[in-house]
Amino acid sequence: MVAPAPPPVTNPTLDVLSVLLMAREEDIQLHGWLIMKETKRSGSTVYGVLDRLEDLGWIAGYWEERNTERIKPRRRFYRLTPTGATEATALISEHRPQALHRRMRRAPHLHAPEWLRPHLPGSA
Amino acid sequence: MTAWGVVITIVLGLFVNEVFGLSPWLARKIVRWSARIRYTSPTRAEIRAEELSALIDSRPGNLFRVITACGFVATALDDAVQRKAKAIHQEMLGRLTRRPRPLERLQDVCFDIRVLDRDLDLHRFTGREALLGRIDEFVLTQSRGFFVIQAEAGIGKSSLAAHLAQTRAWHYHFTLLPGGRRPELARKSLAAQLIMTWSLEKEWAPKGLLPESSDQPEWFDRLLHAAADRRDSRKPGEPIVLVIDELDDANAEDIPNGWLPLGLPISLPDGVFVVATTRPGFERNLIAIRDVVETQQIEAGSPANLKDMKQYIHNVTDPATGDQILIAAVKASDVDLNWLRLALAEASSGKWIYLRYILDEIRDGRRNPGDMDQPPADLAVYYTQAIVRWRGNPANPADQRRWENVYLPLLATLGAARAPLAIDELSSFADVPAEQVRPFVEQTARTFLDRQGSSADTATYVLRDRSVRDLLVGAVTSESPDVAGLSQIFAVQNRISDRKIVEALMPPGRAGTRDWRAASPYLKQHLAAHAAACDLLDDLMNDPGFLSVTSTDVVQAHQHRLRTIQGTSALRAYELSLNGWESLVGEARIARLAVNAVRAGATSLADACTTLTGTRWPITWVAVPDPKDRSRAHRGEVRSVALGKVGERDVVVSGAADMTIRIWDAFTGHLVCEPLRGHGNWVQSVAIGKVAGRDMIVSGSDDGTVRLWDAVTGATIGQPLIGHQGQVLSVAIGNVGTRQAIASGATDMSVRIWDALTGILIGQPLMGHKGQVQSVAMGRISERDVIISGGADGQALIWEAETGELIGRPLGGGGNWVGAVAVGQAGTQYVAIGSGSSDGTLFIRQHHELRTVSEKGAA
Repeated sequence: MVAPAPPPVTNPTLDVLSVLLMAREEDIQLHGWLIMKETKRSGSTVYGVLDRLEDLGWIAGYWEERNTERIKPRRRFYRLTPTGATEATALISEHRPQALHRRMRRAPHLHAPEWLRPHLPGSA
Repeated sequence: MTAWGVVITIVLGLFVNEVFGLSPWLARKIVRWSARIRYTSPTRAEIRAEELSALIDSRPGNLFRVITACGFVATALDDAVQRKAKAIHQEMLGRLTRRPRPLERLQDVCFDIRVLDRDLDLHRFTGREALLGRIDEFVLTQSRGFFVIQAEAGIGKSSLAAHLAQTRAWHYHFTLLPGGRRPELARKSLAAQLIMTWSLEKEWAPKGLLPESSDQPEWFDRLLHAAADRRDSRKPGEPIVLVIDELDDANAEDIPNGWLPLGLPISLPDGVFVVATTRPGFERNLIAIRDVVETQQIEAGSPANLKDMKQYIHNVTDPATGDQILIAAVKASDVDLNWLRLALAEASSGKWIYLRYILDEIRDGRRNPGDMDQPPADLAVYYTQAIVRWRGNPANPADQRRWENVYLPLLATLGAARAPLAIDELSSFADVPAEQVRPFVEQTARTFLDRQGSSADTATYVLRDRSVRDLLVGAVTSESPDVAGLSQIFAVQNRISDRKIVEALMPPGRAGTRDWRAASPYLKQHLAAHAAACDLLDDLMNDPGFLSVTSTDVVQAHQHRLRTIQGTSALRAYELSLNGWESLVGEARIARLAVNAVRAGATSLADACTTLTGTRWPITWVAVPDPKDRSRAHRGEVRSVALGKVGERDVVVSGAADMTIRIWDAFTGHLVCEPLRGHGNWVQSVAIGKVAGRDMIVSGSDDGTVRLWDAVTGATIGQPLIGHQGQVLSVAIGNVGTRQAIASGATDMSVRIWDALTGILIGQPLMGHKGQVQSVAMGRISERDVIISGGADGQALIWEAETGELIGRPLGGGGNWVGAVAVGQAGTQYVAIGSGSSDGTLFIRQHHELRTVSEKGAA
């Protein structure tokens, strides 16, 4: 008899999931660095969690759209899949009910459309 | 991150700081590198490489960028080390639990070349001084490289290669040995020689066993380097030489790009050499070589070759030291020895194989030594002459019949055969009576054939030489009209032979009705290849019986010959089934194929599976966990299913160990809505029905609750029904008088009845079982609403639903679990109750009379 694969309930996982849920709530495009900043966790930890969530089909990644002539590397954004959203909500409400009501400590320009970002305070 | 990782982070960070200064560019480089070592999947590695460089760009502060990048590297290195450790661990574990394959032991994987001595008459090897000198010089003066000896078939390449292997004590491989054309066996044989010569057993073949990875060309490449390193420390300057005979005859399938034939590396370590023999025209396959390549031709008519042959003829006919049987035959014929030597040299004109055949014939008394007429222009002509001789007089009808009915089919069958054949196999494949096959292989065509096995009954026959095989499959081009004509005949005949072999091997019937139980080893190994050659593989792929007996490799090797969508879908179904295939037998394989055929859309294969199993219930759709679409199927054991209607749609409801309930369209297998979530443990039981006009699903779970769901929206209805003191194993929907109700059975040994509308318990829990309640059903018997329950106590109890009283005596009474119960009507007259018991007994009760029908397996 094989029990279903247990969801990866570790503190980093919960951290990352709650950030993903917040971003979903507030419609923010979430990339790796932002997750690292929000969770205050190292890159390899965050990506370890992202790898696992991607394998589970809980999150999906997509590339940043930008001008092709720019040679800079593209950022990759992550969002919860419908399954992931259900599973994440269940997990967070079980283990971190208070996190559901937190807001992101985000800079305002993260929300703005691409063309506006360079003009906002705090942008490079 | 381990302590090790931290140290690397610091050291790498300081190092980077000191040497390069802090540049974002470098941080990007580092982070890309880390992605490539961390991820084993190339796609993911590429995605992460780009993404992480973008991440480094987002990160403010140059110093922090490098630190972040180094953090990634440290973890990646850590991962890589752990991965390696895990692989080693698993390998060790595998060794402990698995018996080694017979070919894994070092001493077994070495090909035995003693047989060559007999075939090639090596102890009389003569001459070739110039060429041998050139090879020795190449090895002495070059730092590494390939020496290629080119010659047509039958010029003595194999003798030369064997002579080199013997006299120089070099490592060797001969593709002409049985199995020698298979690249992985060739590499293993060479590897075993390297390991034993350079005492590399400890790292490369612990306990004298080759690791699983030794199948890979990469492994052999690494071993070559390890051998070169060991040589450098033990015997610096000594060359490592691999002699490969007939490299062009190796199987070309399964060699990935970037490797030479046999999977040899395109570049060698210093002090390592490959001396290979090939037929002319093989250069284009060696173009990838990165090291020095020297090519030497042996021309049949070159003075050196003719001189060598003359010397050999002299040696073999020397009355004192020569071949005594041959000499006796010559003496008996009264032919002058000197004349014979000249005649042999002239007739053979540098073609060693021709000389060997003539000498064999004289030895066996099949040729008069005085008969040396018509020296062959090339070997194919020699073979052609022999075959034309067997053909006899075209004007003679008896000769003609023998040719068409015996010789031609037998020769073509030998050409098409993929392995040595016994007389009865030849007889069946060529459709020639065995009593006519025997004189053919033992006398007429004996010189063409190698015989293996001692007794005549077990002996197998195979074409001795590649040149004759080329002719018999119609692959020879020649200016001689005789040869070209014969080659054309065999080109046609070869396809017929493939088809005849398929027909001979294939059991009668069509896919699904054929009986493959008597499949021979030859069938399992080669039928797919023959079928592929005559475009019949598609048909075979749709035969589950064939797929359950065939060798997997041969199907996969010929998959590019599949022509139809049904064929390729069946291949996909087959490949989906291969995980753990070896451990399945017979029906279990068919059952798995049936499921995967539906999954892969292979309808013909699915139909054949249905025919084969004789079921009247073919599989319409399956929902299997799919790594590419994890949301679709259950991710845990399916515990219960129910069939019903949602509106006008027929649906299947399933409850599983993944705590979800899923609703499927009964015809298409598509999910009707998102999985129903809410239970906190395994869903053990589901039921579907109409309650007050609303389509409702009821579920029982290990979390101790019964839940109600709206089947249309998937929303929960009301609160979970709480009351059971244990896991709820079974639920049912039905009526209690005028009310609609739900019955549930649980591990607390009780059956409870709930009002389906209000969720309120009706009456007291029904207590009567002495074990957990496995199953419940609701129904009507003789105008009364009843509940029937089956328990782990081996009893099935019938309850009056309204009063909660037991009706009649319990069914069963044995010690085995009653896992399933049902209430229903059989025809118009009888009300029947069945209960399935875990010992295979089925109880049926009609009205109130108990009848026990014992039907093993019926439950």
